[in-house]
Order: sequence, then structure tokens, then C-alpha cells
Amino acid sequence: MNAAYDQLVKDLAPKKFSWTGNVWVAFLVLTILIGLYSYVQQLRQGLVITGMRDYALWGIYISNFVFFVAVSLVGSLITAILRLSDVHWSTPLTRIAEIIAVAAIIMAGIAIIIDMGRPDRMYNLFLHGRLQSPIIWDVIVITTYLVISLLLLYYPLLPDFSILKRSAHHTGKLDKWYGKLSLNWSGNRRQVRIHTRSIQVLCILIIPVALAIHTVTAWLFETTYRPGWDSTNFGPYFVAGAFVAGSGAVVMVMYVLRKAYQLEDYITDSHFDKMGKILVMLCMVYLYFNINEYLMPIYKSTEEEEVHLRSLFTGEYAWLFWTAILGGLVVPVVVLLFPKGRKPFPLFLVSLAVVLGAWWKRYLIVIPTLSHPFLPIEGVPEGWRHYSPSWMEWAITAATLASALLIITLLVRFLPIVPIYETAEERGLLENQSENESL
Amino acid sequence: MKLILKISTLLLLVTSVFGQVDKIKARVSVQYNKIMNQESFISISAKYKGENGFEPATNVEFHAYQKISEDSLLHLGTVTTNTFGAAKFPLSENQNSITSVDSNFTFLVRIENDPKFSDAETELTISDANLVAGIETVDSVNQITATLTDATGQPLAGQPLRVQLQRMFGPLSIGEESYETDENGAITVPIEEPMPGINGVLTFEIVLNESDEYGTVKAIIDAPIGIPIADHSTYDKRTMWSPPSKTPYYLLIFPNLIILGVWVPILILIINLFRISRAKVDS
Repeated sequence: MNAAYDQLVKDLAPKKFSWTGNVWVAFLVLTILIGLYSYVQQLRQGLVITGMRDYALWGIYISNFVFFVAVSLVGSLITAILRLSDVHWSTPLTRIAEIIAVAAIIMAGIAIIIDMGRPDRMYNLFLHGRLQSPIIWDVIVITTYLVISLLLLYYPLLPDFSILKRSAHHTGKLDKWYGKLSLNWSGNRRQVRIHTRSIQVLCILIIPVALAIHTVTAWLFETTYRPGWDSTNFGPYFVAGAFVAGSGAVVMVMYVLRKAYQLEDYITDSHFDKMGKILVMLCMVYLYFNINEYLMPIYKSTEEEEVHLRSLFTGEYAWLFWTAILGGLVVPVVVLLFPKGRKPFPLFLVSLAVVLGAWWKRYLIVIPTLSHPFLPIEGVPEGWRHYSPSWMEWAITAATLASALLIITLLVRFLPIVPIYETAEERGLLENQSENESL
Repeated sequence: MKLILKISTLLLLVTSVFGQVDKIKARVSVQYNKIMNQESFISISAKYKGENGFEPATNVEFHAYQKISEDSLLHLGTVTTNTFGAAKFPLSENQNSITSVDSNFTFLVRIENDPKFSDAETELTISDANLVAGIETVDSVNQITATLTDATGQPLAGQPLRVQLQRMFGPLSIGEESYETDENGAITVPIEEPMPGINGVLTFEIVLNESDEYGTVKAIIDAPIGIPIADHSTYDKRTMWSPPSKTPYYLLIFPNLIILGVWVPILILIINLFRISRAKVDS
């Protein structure tokens, strides 16, 4: 037996939760239960329990949906783009990125259902859906992306399941499941050939679909002629923002998992440094798109755009807007330009700011535009003029975020966080193993 | 035992007295309508005084009767009000002819045993009248002529007749608000302004409106004297706003090609999982 290989398997094999892990799961479950209670109230009483009314007919449910869609893009970035570019340093991060992508896209689909007043009538979307509508495009592309993301998570896991099945570090029912999920993987040439080709096809396939999901989500807004949304730039603007949110999420999760599972030998400071460099580049690209998005309407200053922009720059949403832009983009760029800023803990804090900024940025994309329609708001109660989410709306939204984190937590519990087979292969540990021993 | 029976009887009496729910009084108005050569009907409108002022009395069943003599009623049928508190009771030809000896008809409309509204009755007596309309061209001017007569064919003078043109969202008045019939029961109204109509056809209505004696009597005539307008309706075309069955071809072809282009490889990838599972032994 190769001791180094054995140690690697021992290090990377899934581990039971510590007491902090159990407390974390209990906290997430409690948050979800409060959200479920609120959702039951919404089902019983209708969307009247939310702050949404005639004008702000999309609220934090939709901004939350856009956020989830954005975060899900990270699977294609870390896994597909870097893999196709033959970049190997990202191997320990691929599984984390794939897990985040799967959790985010599942919750994106659920978030959109939550926004429906009558989810029991959802079947009509499939019975009477029109291909002319971007909503149908979104349904198609989200479903497609979910399937591809699941496959991209599962395919690289096949050799890992086989390793775990034979590993001495696991006993009981889990080994049986790992055996079933490994699909009789023995690592023979035929299996490796199909496996390698399939992952390559997946990596190629996921990139256009990932770009499509964000572009189509942007089109949901862009196809309606409203101040703030009427832009030909919206597709790439959303894609750029999604890369930022997703990368920030990966950095946060990798920092927490490294700490929780003592993975310092696998997720090193160098990984944080490199992710920090990617993040700063993505933040600058997104900043560039933001400048494009706001500068041209300011220059043209049509009456409606001016009202909308004034509310963002100096009005009702100013503090939120400047916090999201400065705190979520400008300051991270400045901090990450310095090597010390790309150390694990500072990078974690910066990523936290980036992700929070990304969530509120989606709020700023959705709500202010709806609050400034072309026709003046007249003859409606004062409360309809401004959108303010109800506590139940917040509870449901928090529950969706907690659900995404719970999916990540559970997947991390039962799957190897760092790909075992690929890491062993890159470290040359498989060469010393016989086929049966290694797989 | 007797005491129990007495108490039970008393309780029954009390519940029967106090258990009665006060019924609402509905305000009912009825109107006789006759559209020449088409139909005649009684229109019923019911409302009640609610918390927010007058509200429509919806889902109320009305019984319609025709008075044959002082003590004899013929039950014509029932009709229920819609969400606007309105109902339309059609009258067939034979019902109109039953007691047309003196050309007068008396109808009764009743609410009977309604769970929400108290019983009510409204009586309507009308005389039959006929309105004949036509269009002719005199000295290059189109003019509408209409003659109003009673059931015996005698002209009805001094009655106000409206002339109006059917438009999409309601009738458009032509000329003055109304024209009084002369001693021959006739009116003549010139149509001087050229007006557009689909395929050049204009549909005019000549109306004796809500007369106490004759009800509403209407004659409708089509006249090919309008300026033809092209129908720009896209109803039958494949547009971005059409139903699924009329999706534009390019939106059927290209998205479906893209969907196939993505889903065929996905299916192959799923099949590959089975291939990996079966390739346990290296071939």
C-alpha cells in the first residue's frame, strides 16, 4: 500500500459533522421551518402577505432568483473554463464550485415558483406556454442547466465513489451507496475513455448554456421597455455580474471548508491568491459594465431615466446603491490588488462583501425600475408607491438561502470536497497503486 | 319526560323565531326590448343597498310571468342575474301572441323564496310597436328613413327616435340627439359625413329608447355607404403576441434546433453512464 495515497484518501473522504456542524444544520433547518410557515401562510392568504402590489409586482423573490441564477454560473467558470484551459491548480476547487452550482440552480427554480400566486396552476405554463415568451425560454434553460450541472457534478465523482467504496475509512451503509453510485467503476481503459470524453463534452456544453441562462434572465427584464432595463447591454452585464457573485461564493465556501475539515494541504494559500486574482479581474469587468450601464443613460438623460437614476444616485436607494457599488465592487478591487488582500482571511471578508453586494445589486436592478413606471402613479394608496418587503417575505427568502446552504452542507457531508482521484492523479500517487487498489 | 318535551318545544320555538335571518330588499327594474326581425326580451336589473352604497344583486333567480287576465298568470320561465346584477329573459313569438287582442302585454317579474332577498314583484305593461327603417340616396345624399307604427299599423307621431352607428366600443350618435316622428310616424335623417366601415359597410341603429308605453324598439340596417377600411387584424397571423398554435416559424425552428442541439448530447451523456456501468470488464 502507498502510505501517501492512503493518507490522501483519509484526508479527503467525507467526514461526520462536528458539533458545530450539527449546530449549523439545526440553524439552517430552523430558518427553513420559519420560511415554510410563512410560505404556508402565503399559499393560504395569497401574495397579499408580501409587500408586492400593483407597481412593485416583483420583489425580493425575483431579485433572490436572479442572485441564485448568478451564483450558479460558477460551475461553468471553475470547472468548465479552467478545465478546458488545461489549468490544473483549480482541481481542489472544482467539486466546491459544482456543488454550489447545483444548490444555486435548484433554489433558483424553487425561488421562481415561490413568486407565483397560484403555484398549483403551474402546469398551465407547460400546457399553454408560448415560445415567444422569455419566461418559457427561462424555464427551458434553467431545466437544461440543472441537468448539465448535475451531470458535471456526478461524472467526476464516479472514480471517487469507487475509491470510497474500497476505502478502509468508511464502513456501513454509506459504502453500499458509494458502490452503487460508482456504476461499477474499475478505471479500465474503456471506462476512462468514455468518462474523459463525457466530461469534455459536458465542459463544452455547459458554457453556452450557462451564458444562455444569464442572458435569458437578463432578457426577462430587457424585453420590457422600462427605465433601467431598456438596454442592449443587459445580457453581458448579467453574465459579468454572475461571474463575480459565483466566484465570491466559491471563495467563501472554500475558506469555511478548509477551516472546518483542515484541508490546508489541499486548498492552499496559493489557491486563495489565484482566486483573488480571478475575482479582482471579474470585479473590474463588472465595474466596467456598470459604468456602461449607468453612464449612457446619464448622458442622454431622458426624463424617465433621469428620475430612475436620481433615485439610485441621490434618492431613496442611494445608500443601498453606493454601498453595493463601493462596498461590493470598488473596495474589493482595491483590496485584492494587493497580495496581502488575497490571503485567505482578508479574501474571505472581501468575498463576503462581494456576495452581499451582489445580492443587493439584484434588488437594485429589480425594485427601483418597477417603482418608476412611465405613466405617473395616481389614485393608489400611499403604501403602493414604495416597496417594502414584509417579514414573511424576508422569512421565505431567508429560507431559500438557508436551503441552498443546507444542500451544500449535506453534499459536503457525503461527497469528497476535493476530488480524490484527480488530486491523486495530479500528485502522481496513482502510478504506485495497482488498478484494483486505487479504484 | 313531559318537562323535557316542554323544554324541547320551547327551544324549537325560540330557534325558529330568532333563527330567521333578515332578508334584503332588492330594487328591481325591468325593461321590454324589441329588435326588429331578430328578438324580443325583458332585461332585468337588480341591486340592493349594501355597506358601500348600491351593489348588484347577483345570482338571484327571477320568475317571469305573463298576465293572461286579471286573475290568471302564465309562467314563462326563470332567469338568474349575473355578476352585474343583470339578466335577460328572452320572449318567444308565441308568448307575445297569446294576449295580443288589444296589443298590450303585461309581464310580471318576481323574486320567490330567494335565500338572501325578500320576495318582490315588478309589473311591466307595454304596447307592441314596429319600426321599419331603410336607407336611400336622394340628390347624391344618403338618408335614413324610419317609420314607427303600432300593432295595427297606425303611425305613432311625436315619438323620439335616435339614429346611431354601431362602433367597436359603443354606438355613435348621428345628427341630433333624437328626431321626433311626424304625423306619418316617420323620420328622415341625412348622412352627410363620410364614415369608415369594414369593407365599406356601416351598421345603423334606429332606436325608440326606453319608452314608457312601447319599451325599447330598435331597427338595424346595414348600408354599403362607408369608406372601406383595410382590416389590419393580425388575429390569424403568426406573431409575437399570438397563442402557442400561431408561433412564428422562426421561433419554432431555431429554439427547437438549439434545444435539440443541447439535449441530444445530454441524452448521450446519460447513456454514457450506462455504458460506463456495463464496461466493468475492459474490452
